[in-house]
Amino acid sequence: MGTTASIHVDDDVSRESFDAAADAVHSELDRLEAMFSVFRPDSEISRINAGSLHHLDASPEVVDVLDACAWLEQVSDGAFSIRRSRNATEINPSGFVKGWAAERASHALAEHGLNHWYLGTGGDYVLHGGMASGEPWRIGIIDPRDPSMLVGSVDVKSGAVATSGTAERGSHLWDPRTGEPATAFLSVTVTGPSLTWCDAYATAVFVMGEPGLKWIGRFPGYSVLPVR
Amino acid sequence: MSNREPSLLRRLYPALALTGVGLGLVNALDRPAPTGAAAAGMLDTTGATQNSAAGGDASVATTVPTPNSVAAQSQGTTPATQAPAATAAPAPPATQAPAATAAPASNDCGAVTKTGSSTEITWRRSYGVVQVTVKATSAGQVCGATAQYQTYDSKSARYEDYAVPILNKQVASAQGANIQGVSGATAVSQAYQQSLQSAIDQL
Repeated sequence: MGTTASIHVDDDVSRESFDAAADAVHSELDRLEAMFSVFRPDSEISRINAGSLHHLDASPEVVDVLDACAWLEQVSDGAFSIRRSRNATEINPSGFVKGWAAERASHALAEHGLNHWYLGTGGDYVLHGGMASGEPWRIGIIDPRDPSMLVGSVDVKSGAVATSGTAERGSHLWDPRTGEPATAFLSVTVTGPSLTWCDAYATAVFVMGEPGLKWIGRFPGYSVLPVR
Repeated sequence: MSNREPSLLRRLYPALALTGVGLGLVNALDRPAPTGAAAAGMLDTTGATQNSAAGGDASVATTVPTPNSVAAQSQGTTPATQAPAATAAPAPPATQAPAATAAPASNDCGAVTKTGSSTEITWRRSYGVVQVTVKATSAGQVCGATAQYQTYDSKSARYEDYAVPILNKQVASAQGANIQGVSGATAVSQAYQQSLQSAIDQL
């Protein structure tokens, strides 16, 4: 949320077709932003925090997201949470919504008949079909110790890549269980079939530290690369 | 963008590798020193020790609401070098480096310049904008870039100097030559890349 999406298409399509598909993606992202942004006082999340909307009365998408976050909090033993600490009441699902919304909006590309594309937002990627030539898409993973370098790259035809870590120098991801910043890793990259879960697991593993590398093994199809 | 040719971002990296020209940089004040070797594949772990200096750097520059201009540097600059920016004063523009070792297709670098969109730097909130101008030869080959950035959030005194990604020649040729995107960049470098992309889209 708050970042723009970039769309890259390798299909042989007209500019008009591409623009129509891209517009659909951006419309959906705008629609979801209006519902979830904590920076907008009229969003459903803000109204839930203000007490003027009960979460059970919210739109189905909001209910789905809150349910998914509740499940994630439980399965990660609190390492992932949309509340800042165990006793906090204010919710901020932005971390989850970032990947979830991008993945949801990317469906518009397939719906518009595109077969070779990727959508990037804030370092997260949904990728589909590889290049038209048959080659996979290749995403470099930036070295958090030196942003001019890559620690490696991943080849993906269809799937997702997400990296958790400090997107802003000097900021931290907080461990909701302790209230302390998570410091075991500098970044965690996760690849797998769904950006929603790559993003969520990357955040959870980042907070968990070393035990997270074992924890993520319970989710088939997801791979992890931590940088210490 | 709709295209039959490779995406422009994909074209950028080999162009930079061939010309060897890095992109402008002002080092962040709390930039960690490079540690060990990079990680290999997924599920592997790096041997690098964690640098706990990521944040809380005491040598913070003061808030500077005026734009800073950063000239392109050659790829010879090592990542560990601290630019003169690590002081209380605003960063002076880096000097323009000599042309790269690999000769570009034509010598008229700068015959064409395109300025990308002014792109907001956001992470939870907006705290500045960056705007990239690319230089290209008349043949359309990217040979340099400059970035202007401006902060406007008076609360974040830490963020006057930014790390803008340098594409080191070794990285670009060894790893970046066929990259469609990068994951794990800072909010600043993402904004930089976005502005850069919009400039290249105009070539």
